[in-house]
Amino acid sequence: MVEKQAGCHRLKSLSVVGGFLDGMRIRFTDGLNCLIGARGTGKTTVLEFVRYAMDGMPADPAARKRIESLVEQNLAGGRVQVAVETKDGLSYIVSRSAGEDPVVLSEDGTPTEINLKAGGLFKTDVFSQNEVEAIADEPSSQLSLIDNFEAERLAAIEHLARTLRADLHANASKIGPIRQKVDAIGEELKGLAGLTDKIKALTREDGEDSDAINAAHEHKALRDRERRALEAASGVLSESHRAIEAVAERLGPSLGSVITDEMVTGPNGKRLRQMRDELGACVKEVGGLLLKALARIEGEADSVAAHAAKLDLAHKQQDMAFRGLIEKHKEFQGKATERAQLEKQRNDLLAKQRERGRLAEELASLQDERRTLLQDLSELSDERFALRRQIVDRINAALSPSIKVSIIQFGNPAHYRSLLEEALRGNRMKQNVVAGKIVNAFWPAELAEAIKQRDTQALVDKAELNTDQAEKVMAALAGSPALFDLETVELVDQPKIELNDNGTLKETGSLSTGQKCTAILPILLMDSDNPLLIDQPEDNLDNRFVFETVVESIGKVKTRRQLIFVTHNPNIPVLGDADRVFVLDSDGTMAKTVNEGSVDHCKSNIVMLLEGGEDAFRRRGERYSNRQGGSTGAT
Amino acid sequence: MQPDLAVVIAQLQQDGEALPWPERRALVKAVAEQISRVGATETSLSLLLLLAEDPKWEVRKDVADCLLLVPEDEFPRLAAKLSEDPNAFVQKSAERALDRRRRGQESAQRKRRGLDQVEDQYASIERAHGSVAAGKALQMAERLYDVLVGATVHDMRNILGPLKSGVSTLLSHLGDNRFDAAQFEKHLTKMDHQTEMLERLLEDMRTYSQATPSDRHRERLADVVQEAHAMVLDAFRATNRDASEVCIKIDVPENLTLEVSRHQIVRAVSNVLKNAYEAFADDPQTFRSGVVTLSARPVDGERVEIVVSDNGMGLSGDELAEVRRFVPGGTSKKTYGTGFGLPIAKRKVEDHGGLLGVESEVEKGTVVTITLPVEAAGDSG
Repeated sequence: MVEKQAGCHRLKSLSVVGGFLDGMRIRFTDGLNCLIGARGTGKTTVLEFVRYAMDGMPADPAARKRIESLVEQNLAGGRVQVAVETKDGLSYIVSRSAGEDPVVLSEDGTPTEINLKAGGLFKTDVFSQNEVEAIADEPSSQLSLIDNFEAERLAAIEHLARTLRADLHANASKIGPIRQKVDAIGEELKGLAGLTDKIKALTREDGEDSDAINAAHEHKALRDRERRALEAASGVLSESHRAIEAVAERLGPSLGSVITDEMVTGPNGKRLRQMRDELGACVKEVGGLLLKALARIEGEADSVAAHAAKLDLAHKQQDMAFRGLIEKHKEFQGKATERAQLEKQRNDLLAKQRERGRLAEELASLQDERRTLLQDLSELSDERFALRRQIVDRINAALSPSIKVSIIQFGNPAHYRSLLEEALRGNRMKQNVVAGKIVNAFWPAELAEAIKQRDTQALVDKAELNTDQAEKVMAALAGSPALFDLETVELVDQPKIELNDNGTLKETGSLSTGQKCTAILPILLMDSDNPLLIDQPEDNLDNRFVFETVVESIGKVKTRRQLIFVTHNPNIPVLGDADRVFVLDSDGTMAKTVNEGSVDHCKSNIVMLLEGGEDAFRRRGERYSNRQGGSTGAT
Repeated sequence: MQPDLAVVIAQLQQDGEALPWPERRALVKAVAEQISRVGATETSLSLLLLLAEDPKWEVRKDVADCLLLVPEDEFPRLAAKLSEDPNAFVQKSAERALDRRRRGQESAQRKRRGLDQVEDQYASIERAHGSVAAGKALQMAERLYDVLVGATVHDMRNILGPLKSGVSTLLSHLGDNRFDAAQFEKHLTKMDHQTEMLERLLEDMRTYSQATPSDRHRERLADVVQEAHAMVLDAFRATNRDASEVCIKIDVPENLTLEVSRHQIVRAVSNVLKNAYEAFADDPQTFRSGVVTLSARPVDGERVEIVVSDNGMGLSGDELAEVRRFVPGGTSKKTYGTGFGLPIAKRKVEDHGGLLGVESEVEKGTVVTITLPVEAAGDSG
C-alpha cells in the first residue's frame, strides 16, 4: 500500500444498483487499481459506469452514443454511485440514475448545488479501448488532452470569454439598429442642402420691404424651432423622470434581498447584520435623494410647460403680425406660403440632424466599448494560449526526446472559414476558394475592419483576390450582420504531437496504431490531479514498451495520482505493483467481483487469467531459462 | 504623429509593453507607411525588428504584413523567424511574403531569359548573314520597339493627364472645404472611365506581347465565331453602347473545323468584328444602322478563309496605309478602343501560321480577310 496521497482527487468506491453489475461495490484505493477477468466479465462496464456517473463523456457524438448505449444496456434502468474525495479532502457522493443527470450529494446523502457539467467537482480522465489511439488522429482531442492539465484555470478563462462574447453580442444588437437609424436619417438629410438653396432662392427678392419680409420669414422659422426645442426639453425631462423612478423602485428590493436571514443567524451573523443595516441606511438615503431629484424634475417640467404656454401666445401674436405683413405685399403671398412650408420642412430636417448627432455619439461610445471588449477577448485568448504553451513545455520537458508536442495559436480556423463561406454564399463566386484565401490572409477582426473601411484594395493585396472577387466580397459583407459574428468567431489553437521514430519526428496522424499509442500514452500517464482510468492501456503495444515505458510511468506517477486500469497484461499489475487488484467474473447474466486485494493475494487469479494458467507459465519459464541458461523465468 | 522613433524604441527595448498593444500596432502601420514613402531607415528598421518579437501576436502579424518592405539583406532572417511564429496568422503572412518574394525573383528570371533569347537570335542571324545584317536587324527591332513604346506612352499620357487634373480639382475642392456631391460624382465618374481605359490599354499590351500558347485543339469554327460575337456584344453592353442598329449576318458552314488555340482565335475574330461594328459608330456611344457580314469557306482543302466586311465609314488611302503597318495605337479613327485590336488579331493569326489582310474604301466599307490552316503545323510558333 502506498501512503495516503496528498493533493490529488480520488474515487473512493463504485456501487451499482440494478443491471449487469447489480449489487457490485468496488472500493478503489490510492495508487494503482487493476481490474482483471476473462472477456465479458464487466470490466469495461465498471469503467464506463464511472465515466457515466462522473459525466466525463467524450465530445465526439459517435463515441458518446456508443458509451451511452453500453450504459443503458448494462444499467437497465438502475443507478450508479461513485464516492469521491477532492484534493482538499472533501467527500461527496455522485449518484446517477439511468437517463438522468448526475447529482452530487454530500457524504450524508443530502443534495448539494455542485454541478458536474460546470466543472463543479473535478474531472475524471477516462479512456475507453481504442480511444487512446483515436487521440492521435484528432487535433481537438489532443487539445483537450493538453487542456486537461490545467482544466480549472482554462475553464475560468473560458467562462470569462463566454461573458465577453455575450457582452459583444449585446453590443452588436445595440449597434445594428442605431446604425440603421443614422443611415436612414442621413438619407433624409440629403434633401437639406436642396431645401436651404430653395429657401435662399426665395429670399433673393428686391423691392421695397424685402428686407423686412426676409427677416419676418426667418423669425417665423425660428418660432417653429423654438417650439420644437421646448418639446424636446419636456421629452428629455419626462424620460429622465421615468428612468430615475425605475432606479428608485428597484434599489430597495434588490439591495434588501442580498443578505438573507440564514446569514444573519449564521456564524458570521454579526458582521452580516451590520452590513444589512448599512445597506438599509444607504437605500433610505439614496431613496431620499432620488425623490428630491424627481421633485426637481417635476418642478422643471411644470416650468417648461408654463414657458411653453406663454411662448405659444407670443408666437400667435407674432404669426398675426407676419400674416399682416405678407398680406400687405400681395405679390409675395404665394411665395410666402411656399416659403413657410419649406422652412417647416427644413426645421424637421434640422431636428433630425440633431437627432443624428446624438445617435452618432451613442454609436461612437458603443463602438469604443466594442473595441475594448474585443481587445479584452484577444488578450484572453492570448492568456489561454500562453497557458497551453506552458503545458506543452511541461510535457516536452517530461517526455523529450521521444515525444515532441507543439501548439500553434489559431491553427484551426474551421469555424471562421465556414462562417465566411456562409456569408459569401449566393454572391456568384467560388466562396470556398475565396474564403480560403481570405482566411489565410486576414484574422477575423482585421477582415471586419477592412470591410468597414471599404478597403477593397486590401483584399486584393493581402488575400490575392482579383478585383472582381474583392468587389463581390465587399458587396456581400459590407453592412452585413455577419461582420459582428466574424469579430467574435472562435479561433481554435492547433496542437501537434510528434513521435521520435529513430531520430525522425513523425506526426501522430501518420503513425501506425501501435506508434500512436506509444506517442499518446506517456502523456496520459503524466502527473495530474485527476484520477486516470484506461481500458487496456497495453492494447497495440509490444511488451517491451509496456514494460519500459508504461510500467515505469506507473511507478513514477502512482504515488501522486490514482490509476484505475482494466488490463490483460500481467506486466501492469505485477511489475506496476498494483495496490489493489479486482478479479471479476460473470455467469453471463450477472457479473461480480470474485476476489480483490494485493498482487500477492490475487496471485493465482493473475497467473490463471493473464499468464494463461500455472502450466503455461511454468513451461514458458522453463523454456526461457533453458535457452538463456539463467535461473528463473518471468518476473 | 510620431514624436521620435528613437525614443519609442528605447522605451520598448526597456519594456516591450511600455505602450499598450493597440498603439504598438499603430506604430507598425505608421512605420510601414513611412518606409513605403521614403524608404527604410536604420531607425524604422530596428523598430520593425523589435516589434517582430512583440508579445502580442497582432503586432507581429502587422510586422509580417509589411515584410516585403524590408530590404533584401534583412528580409530572409526576419521572414524565416516570423514564418515559425507560434501564431497561425503571423506564420501564414510571413509565408506569403516569402512566396511573393520568390515569385518576384522568378519573374525577374523570366525577363532575363527573354533577353537571353534575343541575344541568341542575334547570334544566329550573325552566323547566317554576317554582322552587318545582324546589326541592321537589331536596329530595326530597336526602332520598332521605340515606335511602339512611344505610341503607348503617348496614349497613356492622354489618359493620365485628365486623371491627374481631376485629382487635383477634387483635392482643391476639399482644401476649400467645398463638398458638392454632384461635382464630386461628375469628376469621379470621369476618372473612373479613365482608369478603366488605362486598365484596358495595359491588358491589351499584355495580350499583344504575350506568347501564343503552343497547344492546339480541334474546334468548330462556327462555335469560335459565335463566342467571338458574344464577346463583342458583351463588351458593348458592359459600356452601355447600343449596337442594335447594326445588323449582322454570319455564314459559317457547320462542319468546318480548325486546329487552334481557341481563346486566341476567338480574341482575334472578336477584335475584327468589333472594328466592323465600330465602322458605324458616329461617336463613341451611338451606332447608325448598317450591315456586318462574316462568312467562312474552305480554300484548297488545307486552309479556311474568314471574311469580315462592313459597309461603314471605311478608311482613306492614308489611313489604310497606316492600318496596314499593324503598329498598335496607330489608328486615326479611334473611337473607343486602345488601337491594339487589329495588331493583336494579326499577331495571333500569324502565330497560327495564318494571314490577315485589310481592304478599305472611304464611305464604302472595310473587308478583313483571315486565312488559317486547317491542321496545326507540327511546330508552330
